[in-house]
Amino acid sequence: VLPVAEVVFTAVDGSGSSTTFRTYVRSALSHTAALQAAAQLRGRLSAISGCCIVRVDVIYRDPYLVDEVGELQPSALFIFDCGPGQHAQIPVYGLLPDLVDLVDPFIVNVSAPPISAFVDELTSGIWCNPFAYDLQHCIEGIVQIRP
Amino acid sequence: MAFVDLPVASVTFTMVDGSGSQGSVSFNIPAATTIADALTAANQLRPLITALTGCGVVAMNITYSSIETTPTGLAADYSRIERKGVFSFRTAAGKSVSYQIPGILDAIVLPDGRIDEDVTEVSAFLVDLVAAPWTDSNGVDLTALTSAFERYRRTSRPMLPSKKTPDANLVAG
Repeated sequence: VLPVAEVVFTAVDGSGSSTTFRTYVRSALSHTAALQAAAQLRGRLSAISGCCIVRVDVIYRDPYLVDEVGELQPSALFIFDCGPGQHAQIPVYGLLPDLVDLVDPFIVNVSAPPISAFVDELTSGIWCNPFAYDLQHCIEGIVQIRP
Repeated sequence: MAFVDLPVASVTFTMVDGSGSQGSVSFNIPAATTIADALTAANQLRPLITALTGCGVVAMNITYSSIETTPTGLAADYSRIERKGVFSFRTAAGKSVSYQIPGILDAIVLPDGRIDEDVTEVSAFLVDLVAAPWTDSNGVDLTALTSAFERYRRTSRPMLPSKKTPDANLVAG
């Protein structure tokens, strides 16, 4: 992880326009401590600005180095069941041709070992949908090609 | 007015293809997950993603968020993001860093355009920002305020007020 985490405050003015104010903390700081510090600074900002702070993001970044890369298209859209009435959609770009179903070219071959390993990892407990419901099982994977 | 932590954090992988185009894929984890555990999970997931794709995974971000649940009408009348309060600091490494606060209030701007750092609210903000845990983008502490002034940015098309038409009585009158 980079040595600093970015703390981004999003502000909205009286006309509805928005902008951001960015500052940094050391990434060794826990996210709970960073959010607490951000809450205090948000109060200080509100006292000197007429804008309304509507969002605070604490972002820890980790860059990687890569060598060879292919194409973004097609992408695979994985649909997960997350319990009664709850689902998750997860797109993955640049699906390898070997992982497309041999019969239906718009379906991901979910029995292929790389796909099943990916799905098994996502359904292993920590991963959830945006409403904090665990990913339980993959309903299907759809091959998508976007303009 | 209520500011609440989102129940989930997002783990976002940025992917790049051979043409240089970028895409991203996001996953969610419970917000209570520590950064160390999130990193462990993300590092387990990354090779599984790269096994599916011809793209390269060039970055990963873990984002914890809080949001205002009732933002409507909370911004002050006449506040504009183009009107900035610029605060410049010297860092412990001898470099300088600037922050631009949008919608700076009239009451803290002096007639000559400087920001009055003796106003209680301004000095409280400055004391907080110079204290831990805040740093510059290199992780270096801020040490001293070097300048504070008002500045206007150009209004871009997206910043124009959403309501621009006159009311009906002007047309009638």
